[in-house]
Amino acid sequence: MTMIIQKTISLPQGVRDILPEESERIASVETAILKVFGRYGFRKVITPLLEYVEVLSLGMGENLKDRVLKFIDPATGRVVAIRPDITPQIARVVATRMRDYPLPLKLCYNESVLRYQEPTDGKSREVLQMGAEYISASASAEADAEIIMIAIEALNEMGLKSFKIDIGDVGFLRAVFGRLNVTDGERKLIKDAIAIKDASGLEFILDQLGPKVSGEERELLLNLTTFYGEEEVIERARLSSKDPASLKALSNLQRVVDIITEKGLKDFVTIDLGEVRGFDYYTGIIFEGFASGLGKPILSGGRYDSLFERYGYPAAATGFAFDVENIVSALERNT
Amino acid sequence: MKKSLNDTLTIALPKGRILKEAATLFRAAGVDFSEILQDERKLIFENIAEGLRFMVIRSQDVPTYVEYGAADMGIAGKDVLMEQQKDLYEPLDLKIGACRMMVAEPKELVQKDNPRHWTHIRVATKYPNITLKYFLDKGIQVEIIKLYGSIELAPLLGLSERIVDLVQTGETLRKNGLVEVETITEISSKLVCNRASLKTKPRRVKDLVERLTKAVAASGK
Repeated sequence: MTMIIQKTISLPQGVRDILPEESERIASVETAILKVFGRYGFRKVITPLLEYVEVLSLGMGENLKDRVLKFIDPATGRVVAIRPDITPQIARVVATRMRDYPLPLKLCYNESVLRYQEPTDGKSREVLQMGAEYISASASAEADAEIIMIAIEALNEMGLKSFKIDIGDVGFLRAVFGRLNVTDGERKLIKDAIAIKDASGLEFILDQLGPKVSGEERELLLNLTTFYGEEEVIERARLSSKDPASLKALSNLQRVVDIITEKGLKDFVTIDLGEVRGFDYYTGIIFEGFASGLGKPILSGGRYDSLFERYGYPAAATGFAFDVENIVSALERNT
Repeated sequence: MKKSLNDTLTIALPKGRILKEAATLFRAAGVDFSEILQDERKLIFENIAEGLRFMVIRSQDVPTYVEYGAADMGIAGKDVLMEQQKDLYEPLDLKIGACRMMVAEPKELVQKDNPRHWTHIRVATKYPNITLKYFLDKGIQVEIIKLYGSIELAPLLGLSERIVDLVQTGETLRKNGLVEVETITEISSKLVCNRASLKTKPRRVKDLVERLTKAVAASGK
């Protein structure tokens, strides 16, 4: 009899309850993060659970658009969605409600988002996120460095040992890919091979393309699959780049790393110039946090200077979000 | 570089025919795990000097172990990787375990059949995802019969007209009166790596990838 009762009172896949023991661990993570956000002058906003799909879509990356839980609002007949990401909401709030606030504007949030996953992979659909967004009139390496240092300080604050913030730069990649004289389809093949660091596959694709890709470009593209490691990667990339846009991105990245180094936090940073995640969404540096022993990222973010403009408020922005539950798992392994 | 306990790399190896070829390649790269080959019951082997730990698991499980970080790196066939679509780095084609994935049908059917006229077909396979994608991309509706082995029997017993499977020499196909009609893709085994492992142990990962890259080049395949 109990079996039958339990079956009726069940939860949809991908969501869960959090019991007091874990909830207390989450609370201590939240306290540490909010303390650091506060120290840097970030103020919290609370955004709604539901949004119109068309409004959210202005600010979602391609990989997220397919993973939105949406339905028709019975009251209006319009399609609404449960937010899969907070950043587009922040952009909407700032563009519509906070236009007279002076820049730079530093906002943070502590909310859950919902993302559709493949039903069989058992990954959670509801994700607890805590994030910060630094909105300013123009982009700066100082803002990028500050947002990364906030992430590092918050992880130190909660006592996480052995983690790395891995920094890449889609501005650099865009310059490299943009210069190639290939079709969009061919560019996508190249990008997909670099995304998984598949040097052998990339070599095969470049062989097929023949003289369309110059010897110099070929060497740089193949190198992108190995441009990961520590700071010296930036120098290696500089030596094999000539184009002004690539060099500009690299010097901005170097500046970000220099600022972090000045604050004595260099050991927490790795570089990966072949990372293409969020390529269509971000415009400059991108970064993800990894804790040793945990196979998935604990935070991710980057610079997204074109997003606010899509909401009718031209501004530069850089930000990131922690995955709070992944941090709790990392803390259980590494404190 | 000093090697702390945290720095050990765990590598998932696939049980079966690939293991021997992988051992030869790793030996050429200066890493020996041949002890695993001598005792089938031995599933874990530690090379302490190199800071490497090897484990032997089912080939289909390798991508899962690596995706979740239970292993930092692994060796997985392109067939398994294409079928499972996990979020992994694939830094090196090891050029071992070479074979191809193809569509086959009974030779009696071939004479009156033209693949360009297919609109709806029934296919038996161990690889439902690859099969579905391959035919849908061509605009062909496909009914998939998922089997776990002896795929060649399906057309003989009328379970399906066609099969999608791996073929190395084609001997099994011939013996069962089947003919290869289309190649889906060439297959070989790849070195795969967990994303977080590459980020948190970049030097160790890069060192092993570089050594194996040289070994693959020297193998002349």
